[in-house]
Amino acid sequence: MAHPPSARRDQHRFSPPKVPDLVPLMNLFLTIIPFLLLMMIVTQIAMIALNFTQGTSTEKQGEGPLNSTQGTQKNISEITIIIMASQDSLGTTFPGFEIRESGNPKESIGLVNGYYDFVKLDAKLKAIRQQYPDLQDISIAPYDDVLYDTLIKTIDLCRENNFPHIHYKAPQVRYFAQEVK
Amino acid sequence: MNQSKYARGLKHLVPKRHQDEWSLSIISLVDILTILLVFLLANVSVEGQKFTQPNRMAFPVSMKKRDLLEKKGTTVVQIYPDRILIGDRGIYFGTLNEFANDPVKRIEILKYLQTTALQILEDKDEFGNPRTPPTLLIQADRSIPCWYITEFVSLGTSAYYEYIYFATLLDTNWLQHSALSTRR
Repeated sequence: MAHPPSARRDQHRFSPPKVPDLVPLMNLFLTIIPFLLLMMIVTQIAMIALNFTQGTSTEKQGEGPLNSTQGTQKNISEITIIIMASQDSLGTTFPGFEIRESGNPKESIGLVNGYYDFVKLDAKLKAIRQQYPDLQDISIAPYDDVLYDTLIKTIDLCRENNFPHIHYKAPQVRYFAQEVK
Repeated sequence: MNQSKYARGLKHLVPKRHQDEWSLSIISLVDILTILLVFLLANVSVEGQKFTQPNRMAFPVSMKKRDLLEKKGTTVVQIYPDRILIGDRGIYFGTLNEFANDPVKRIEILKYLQTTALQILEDKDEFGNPRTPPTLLIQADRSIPCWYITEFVSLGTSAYYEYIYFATLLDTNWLQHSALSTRR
């Protein structure tokens, strides 16, 4: 007489329910989350603002914005920082900064070791700030070949030295023809 | 001592599948991480991306962080070394060379900026004043010559933009780094 298969033996045929392997998913999460956190901390975007009002499209021709305070500061010097990147054939431009102040001789700050001397520019701006504590306007005129990075650093230094109204100008290039008799 | 002996004695009686059930359950941890991941991805959403650093673009640095006055009325101009993208959707407006040499391209950009600025100005409050001033946010690579920046500033002011912002990266020590490089 054949015996029926025992119930205990049947249990061994079925494996226990398998838990899905979550370890690869965990690894993925543990990689992505610190990366996202790092991205959120590192990319702190700052802004530099230039303030214009409507109808100041001639700003680049050298006129200040309508909301400037220059109208109330007629007795105070007008300061312009000209940024240059190359030397022309006439020798009128050179790589570096030229600070023009009405009534005073212009001051040149050349490159040092091939870099713009922002430290000297900072010192000069501090001296201007001490000389004119109420001065709020300053103009920046970068030549066309100056890099954007240099322009932003110059604007940033002006902001740091409490010049809230920064005017963006394009330097005027004028050609003079000598009359030949 | 007796207890441990007793436990050791029982160990062989406990079926193996019951021992497996005591392993660390990481499902709840995965749940937490999923929620955290969704939260982080939501923070780096498309709207946030508008004002963060675009890929393959190196921003110049500045010492202080200044936020945009209003985000709503902002038009973004992205100037890469090889292309110009404008607007929230990043519409391609050609290369820098085309911008410099093709007056039609510049007119197209001016018209787009004017249309966008007028749309922003149409959103008025109960007193009839625009809710947000039109703001142009220039995101440019640090290696871009200033001529392009000057042109875009000029186009922006011609297109009724009241504020012009330059996007930069925060670096409070750039002046010290600059001092080190000039002293070498």
